Amino acid sequence: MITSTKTPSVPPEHRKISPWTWIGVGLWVVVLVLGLQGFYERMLHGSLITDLGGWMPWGLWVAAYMWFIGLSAGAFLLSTLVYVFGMKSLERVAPLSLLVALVTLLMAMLMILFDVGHMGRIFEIWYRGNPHSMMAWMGWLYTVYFLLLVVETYFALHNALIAARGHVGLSGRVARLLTGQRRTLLSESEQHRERHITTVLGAIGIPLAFAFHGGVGALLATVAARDVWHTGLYPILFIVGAFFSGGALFTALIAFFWPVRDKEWMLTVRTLGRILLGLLLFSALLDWADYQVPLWYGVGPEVRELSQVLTGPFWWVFWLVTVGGVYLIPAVLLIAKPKSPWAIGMAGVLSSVLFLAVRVNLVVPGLATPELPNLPSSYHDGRLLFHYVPTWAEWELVLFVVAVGVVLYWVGIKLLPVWGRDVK
Amino acid sequence: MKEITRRKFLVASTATVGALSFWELGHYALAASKSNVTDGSPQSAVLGKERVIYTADAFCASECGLQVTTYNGVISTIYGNPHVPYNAGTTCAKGVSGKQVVYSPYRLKYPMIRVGARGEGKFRRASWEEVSRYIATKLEAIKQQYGPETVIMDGGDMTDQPPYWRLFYYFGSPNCTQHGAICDTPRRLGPYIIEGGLRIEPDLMRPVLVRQPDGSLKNDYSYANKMIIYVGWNPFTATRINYESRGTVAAKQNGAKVVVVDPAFSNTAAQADWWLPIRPGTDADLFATMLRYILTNNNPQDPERQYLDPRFQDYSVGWPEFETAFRSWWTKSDPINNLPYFSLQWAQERTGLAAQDIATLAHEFGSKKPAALVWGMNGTGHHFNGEVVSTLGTVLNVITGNFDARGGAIDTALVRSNKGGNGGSKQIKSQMITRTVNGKTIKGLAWDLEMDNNGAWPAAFWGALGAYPKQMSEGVQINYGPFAGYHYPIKAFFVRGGNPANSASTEQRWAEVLSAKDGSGDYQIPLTVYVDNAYLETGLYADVILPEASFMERMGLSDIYPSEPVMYLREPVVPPQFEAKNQVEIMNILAKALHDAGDPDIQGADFWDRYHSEEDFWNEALLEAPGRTNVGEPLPYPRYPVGYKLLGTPESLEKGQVSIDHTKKIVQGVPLTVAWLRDHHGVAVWPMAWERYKAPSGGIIATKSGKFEFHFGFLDAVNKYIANRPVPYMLNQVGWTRYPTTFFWYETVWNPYTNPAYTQYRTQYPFQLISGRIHQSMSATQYVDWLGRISEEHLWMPLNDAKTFHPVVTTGQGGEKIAGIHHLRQGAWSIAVIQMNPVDGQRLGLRTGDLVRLVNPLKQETKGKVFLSELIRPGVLRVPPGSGGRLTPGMGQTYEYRSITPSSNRLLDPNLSSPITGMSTFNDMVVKVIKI
Amino acid sequence: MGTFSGNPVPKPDGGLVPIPILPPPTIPSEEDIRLVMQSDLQRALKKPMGERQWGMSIDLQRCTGCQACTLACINENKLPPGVVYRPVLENDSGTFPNVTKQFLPRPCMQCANPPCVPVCPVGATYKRPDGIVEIDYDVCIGCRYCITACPYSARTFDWGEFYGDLVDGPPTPYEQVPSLEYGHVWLRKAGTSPINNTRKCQFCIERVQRGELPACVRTCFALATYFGDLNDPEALVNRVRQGRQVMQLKADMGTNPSVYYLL
Ligand SMILES: Nc1nc2c(c(=O)[nH]1)N[C@H]1C(S)=C(S)[C@@H](COP(=O)(O)OP(=O)(O)OC[C@H]3O[C@@H](n4cnc5c(=O)[nH]c(N)nc54)[C@H](O)[C@@H]3O)O[C@H]1N2
Ligand SMILES: Nc1nc2c(c(=O)[nH]1)N[C@H]1C(S)=C(S)[C@@H](COP(=O)(O)OP(=O)(O)OC[C@H]3O[C@@H](n4cnc5c(=O)[nH]c(N)nc54)[C@H](O)[C@@H]3O)O[C@H]1N2
Ligand code: SF4
Ligand code: SF4
Ligand code: SF4
Ligand code: SF4
Ligand code: SF4
Ligand SMILES: [Mo]
Repeated sequence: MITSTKTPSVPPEHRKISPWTWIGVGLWVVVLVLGLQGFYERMLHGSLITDLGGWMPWGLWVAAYMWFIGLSAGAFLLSTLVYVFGMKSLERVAPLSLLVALVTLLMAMLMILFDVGHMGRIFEIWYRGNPHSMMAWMGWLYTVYFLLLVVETYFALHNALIAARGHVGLSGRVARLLTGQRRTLLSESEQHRERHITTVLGAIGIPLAFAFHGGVGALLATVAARDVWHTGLYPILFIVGAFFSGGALFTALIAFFWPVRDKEWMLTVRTLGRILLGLLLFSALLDWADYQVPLWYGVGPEVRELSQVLTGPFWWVFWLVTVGGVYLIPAVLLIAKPKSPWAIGMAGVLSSVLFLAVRVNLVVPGLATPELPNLPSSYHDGRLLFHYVPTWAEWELVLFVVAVGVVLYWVGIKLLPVWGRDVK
Repeated sequence: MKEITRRKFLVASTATVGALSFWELGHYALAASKSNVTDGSPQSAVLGKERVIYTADAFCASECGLQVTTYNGVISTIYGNPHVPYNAGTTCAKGVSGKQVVYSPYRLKYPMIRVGARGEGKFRRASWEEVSRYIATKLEAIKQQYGPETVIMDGGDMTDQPPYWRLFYYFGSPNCTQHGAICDTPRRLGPYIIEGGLRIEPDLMRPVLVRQPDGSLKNDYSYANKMIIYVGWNPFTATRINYESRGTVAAKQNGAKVVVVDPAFSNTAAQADWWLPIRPGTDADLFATMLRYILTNNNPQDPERQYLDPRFQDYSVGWPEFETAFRSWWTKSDPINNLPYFSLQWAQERTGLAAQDIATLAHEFGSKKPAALVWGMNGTGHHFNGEVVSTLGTVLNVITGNFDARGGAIDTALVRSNKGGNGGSKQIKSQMITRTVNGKTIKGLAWDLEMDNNGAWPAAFWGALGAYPKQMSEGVQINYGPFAGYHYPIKAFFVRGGNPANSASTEQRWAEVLSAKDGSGDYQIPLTVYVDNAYLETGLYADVILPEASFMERMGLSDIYPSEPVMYLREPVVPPQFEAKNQVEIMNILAKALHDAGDPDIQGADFWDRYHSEEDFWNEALLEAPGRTNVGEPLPYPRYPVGYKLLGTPESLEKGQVSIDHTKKIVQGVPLTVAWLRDHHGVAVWPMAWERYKAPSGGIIATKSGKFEFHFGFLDAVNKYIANRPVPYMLNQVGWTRYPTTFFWYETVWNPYTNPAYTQYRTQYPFQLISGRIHQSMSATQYVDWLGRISEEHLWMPLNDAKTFHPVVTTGQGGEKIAGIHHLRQGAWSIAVIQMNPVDGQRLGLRTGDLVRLVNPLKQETKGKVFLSELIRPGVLRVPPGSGGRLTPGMGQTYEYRSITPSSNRLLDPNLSSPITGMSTFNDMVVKVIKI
Repeated sequence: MGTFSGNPVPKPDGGLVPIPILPPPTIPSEEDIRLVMQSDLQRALKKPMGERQWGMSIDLQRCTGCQACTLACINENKLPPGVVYRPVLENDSGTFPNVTKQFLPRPCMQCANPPCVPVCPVGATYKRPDGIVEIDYDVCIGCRYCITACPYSARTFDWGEFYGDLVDGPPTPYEQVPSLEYGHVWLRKAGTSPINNTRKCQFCIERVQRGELPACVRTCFALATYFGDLNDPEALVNRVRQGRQVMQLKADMGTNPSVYYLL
């Protein structure tokens, strides 16, 4: 039996502050400052700061929310590879994936909160939620998912937390707080039992994640009024997309922020790289199907919207950002340099960050075509237009959420023994 | 509302529970319990602060009856007054937008005096005392030095100008005018010379109040019309005769055939049975050909071809002369196509319509009775030969028996209620004056110095505003009457409710004359005064700007174009804002200032001691209402003698509370007053009748003979008047030495398809440029936000560029930029565009939204974006009047787009006006299109 | 001067607004159609709420495209920039000279099976027993999901703009007049409903429940819009459909609109 002793929580080599860290911190400060500006604008002027309008009521923020929640679902599903399916090679990073899922969930919630007109009323969803509404279900499922994540993370980290009781500083205090009176590390059987709990929770989580993220797809797909959205493919597309983008984010985090560049790191990243390539290809296949099927014969209600995506003024979002940035370059990196953690990490960064473009291209085109012919020339207003370009303030608010997410993540890894290192 | 109490709701909901799912019901129950409106609820508190006022619109000359609601003294809603049969509770888009005029930030707020140069737009705020003293001092000096006739009072396009006219007539100037002079004088001439009226409209106003066989009065909602032909008249958009909107579609559903003759597929055409895309400026050709067809093919024996209703001869004089003169043209051939005049083939060549279509139109018009042939302002009246159109049109309506027939064509000017009052014309027409002409002292009436009638066009009896720039720079030459040979300059221009610098004729000419200086560096016209609600172009050239109370803030009367006498009150709805004042107040203030400045002609007894309030003034006008004779079928008042003039409230006439004067043939009831109107939903309605010209004692026809005159008695008089005098110069242009006294014909000038001298332009300047109305009042209201948010007729479309600008509001300094900035997104506001057929667009490589220059043979030009539209005849370009190239910041967002919007009035021929009436020829111009 | 006061509006607690009294019609069947509709609706109001279904018939052969209804609605409901309940769509087709132009006013269809309702996460929008699809501005969180779900673009969002903004000034005087949508008092102020709520045509239900016709119906220049209780066969709104070709917008979607177009 190992008892916890007061040891430094972080290995010494991690203490050295590299120039990359400074760059990172600097970047974060910039993002935060811009983000705060966006936050301020949003609180002061509400939805007025957006470029949205009555005909195109959803834009960057909804897409960003879907992006974040997708990352969350993806990260979570990765963790289930370990907890539910017992995949050993990722064992070490499973708690981290739970943390990432938790943080991105909170980011998603924050993002969508900013998007609604009456933020103060968001709680209405709980006490008068409408079971017909996909969106109400989202609210409920996120709540359950949130609770599940908290509990599962707790159990996943339980032993490490006990181990961390002795840490000096805040992390130790947090560990002591979270582990109560428990001083001794978990026994084999206890570990086993708790592992079982995480397995059960993970197992519950899988359909949950499918439900809420497939649900986001369904949130759009069930809207019969919007031809582009109204396809059975959407929920699946969203789940796969979540897997892919969440996995990519996670891969990037492991590739670049793993505390030590050891063998295990190398192996983990390579494993993740292979998984990522698989997800990328699958996601690309579905995206291709989503565009190609309705466009094949060149007739039908979606043709206009989709052609607009491909050849309209924002063609580059599709061709350069999505096809190039999300799929092609990462695929090349993953295939050409399957062994390079840097290449794999970069692929992860590109795919996860630029995946926002995929979400934008799912949300916006569905709205960009008038539901009735000649609606655009009937009554004019700056908010009754069919072109939408996110305002600077909209971008800034996304940055705000990112900045908050980074803080949450940083606090998480600082205060919680997510790297699981001390257990060894 | 009380009814949705919770208990009742539960009863209701149990009854329908099966139909509703639990959740919807549950939600509804939740909300319903909350949304109960009970006594003392906030909602009834709001309604308790509402007030309803019956008033009349003045957004356009239609002047519909309105029911306005205020809340806490602020205008809340605007609806039509259902008691006014003219508009029967409806309004158009402009009417609804009235509050955006009243509360517009672009409104003039204070009296102002110019501090910069004219046209520069620099002013300072002044008090009413100061401005009235300023005006009075200048006017008195002008009167002393040049005579009162050198002052022009332009009463604009608002019909309630009598207070201003009164002031200036008493001051001694005969030169009071209004904007009928640039509106539709040519289209009025035909009716005027043939039956003494002005405007022929279809019998479409419903309801009308009709005497029943049992003696009761009932509202008649039935439509008898079988055919309506609108020529260059677009009532669905150009909402001048309100009832034509509901009436036309109702009559159509009742079986009437509706035809629209217009180069553009107008909104009216959209609901018509047949559209004839005529070449601009050839309506006279169409009418003449219809007349020839009808005269040729009329066959009293064939029921299909009984085109003529021979009874018209019983009520007319001079038809044989007219017919002879008309037929004499049939053998002549037209130099431009060598075809005999008025033949179907000839008309096909000139109008661009198929000969067969013209024959069908003539046949159907002649055989489908009752019918109405109606022509509009722009389409016909804004062409050089509009008088020919209106004359032939009137003839066609009369000889087919449609005039004043039930379901036929009614001259509204002959049947509407009178609101004569004393606008001061009696004064000026009886005032003796002396002037020295060529060294001789001549005595005459002040009226004989009137600049339009005695100058270039003796038939410019409605004024010739479009030609004022010429007279402003050259002075007025009196050619006729006792003062013939007298010459006087124009020294003051007083304009109220009109924006001639933009609307009246060539824009540049107006700018030029209003800012012209004499040798000593002083302005040639030492005083210009602009009385308005908005800060428009004419205001930029003013020395003094006076803010007038808006139409919701002042009193007036409406009597406009109903088919029966109707009179309604414009009641002030809200107090004048800022320092605006109503016309009667302004009249009194200026009168007092003139009096104080020593003017002997202005006395308190005629002004401030006589009219203590607006109501006093309008009560005087109401004394003459309805002023129509008791004639027609069914007779309005069987209890009174036929042909007697009726005066007084409908109530008193109905009840017999009258005195009858048999010598003057007057039935005098209780005089109508503002107070009476106020007690009766703001409106008085007297009974309708038809065939009102048939009374032996003299019906409604207002010609000298009391009959239809085809040998124009009026022109006879004019001819006598100008005998031994040089012929008005424009008459020379059409080759006349004297007025024709019966059928006459002349061609349009700027038309390469009908004017042999101009055929060269067909290739060099391949487009004819016309205008068409949009949801605005000409040059006035393009700043009205709501109206900028809707598009119309492919003339006013959301082709604006994105633009960030400092908004301008009017202050005590004129238009002033304010600190903030406003961003207008692309496509968020309508601007004036150039409507063009895609065939033309393709040929020139143009796409919708491309910026082009329009250049005319006089080298004038304007810029605008094209809008390609299948709804216009190739070779024709159409723009909205007064909506583009606007030069004053008072136009709000429209001003911001001045460099990419077209102004057709910049391309007019400054030396051209109609030879008979002096009217501007807004629609006669050819242009070429150059892509920018 | 007795002016500026006008007459008080009949209060709702005084019962229904009186129908204007005009001279009797010569032919009883040919009456002022607005008075007929007003008495139709007053008759309907006597029935329990669940037994009446408000609906509209819009005669496309009569509509002149004047757009007075669009603006009358804005005027009545005090709609801010960005919000429109009844745009009039213009459809042109053909090539010169064989062209047509049709105007199509588009209020909320008050669908019998409204896709906008089930999507609302908080049940802020619901079908009332009288057929109106209501939005409870006090509950609506402003998520705009329903906007995406309406196949007719009948819903727009109140972003909080004012006409005064156009000249960078304070709200105009007429923006300080409350609207009475759904029988509540709504005075727009930053951050409070209906700002940041989804808004749409509600058949002027507050007016209707007072016995008045909806603003657009009342104003219509060409008398092209009929309104009344779809459950009452005698109501003009139903009688005008007889013998006419009738269309519902996007009928294939199964929303079953309460707005009928007469072709
Ligand atoms: N909404 C609105 N209503 C208005 C006004 C307004 O500004 N806006 N102004 C009011 C006033 S003052 C007036 S005078 C009336 C004007 O009423 P209208 O005369 O009906 O109005 P316009 O649109 O000027 O002209 C009518 C039509 O004439 C056509 N046209 C042009 N040239 C020719 C031609 O040579 N032949 C034929 N057959 N047609 C031609 C144009 O295409 C146009 O569609 O409207 C009144 N009502
Ligand atoms: N190219 C072209 N030119 C045209 C026409 C055309 O069709 N084509 N149409 C012609 C016709 S038909 C006409 S009638 C004329 C119209 O031309 P105008 O008579 O000049 O009429 P508007 O341009 O409407 O200008 C009316 C003025 O009255 C002001 N006003 C509005 N309400 C009030 C009020 O209550 N009190 C006062 N004091 N002022 C008020 C407005 O602000 C505006 O300055 O334009 C003519 N010009
Ligand atoms: S037709 Fe003219 S007077 Fe009548 S509501 Fe429209 S703008 Fe006002
Ligand atoms: S038209 Fe749209 S907003 Fe209206 S009920 Fe139907 S789905 Fe809902
Ligand atoms: S915007 Fe309001 S009414 Fe619409 S779905 Fe969201 S909460 Fe419901
Ligand atoms: S019924 Fe009322 S709310 Fe609906 S469009 Fe008409 S005016 Fe607007
Ligand atoms: S008010 Fe009537 S005629 Fe005008 S657009 Fe609306 S429905 Fe059509
Ligand atoms: Mo006019």
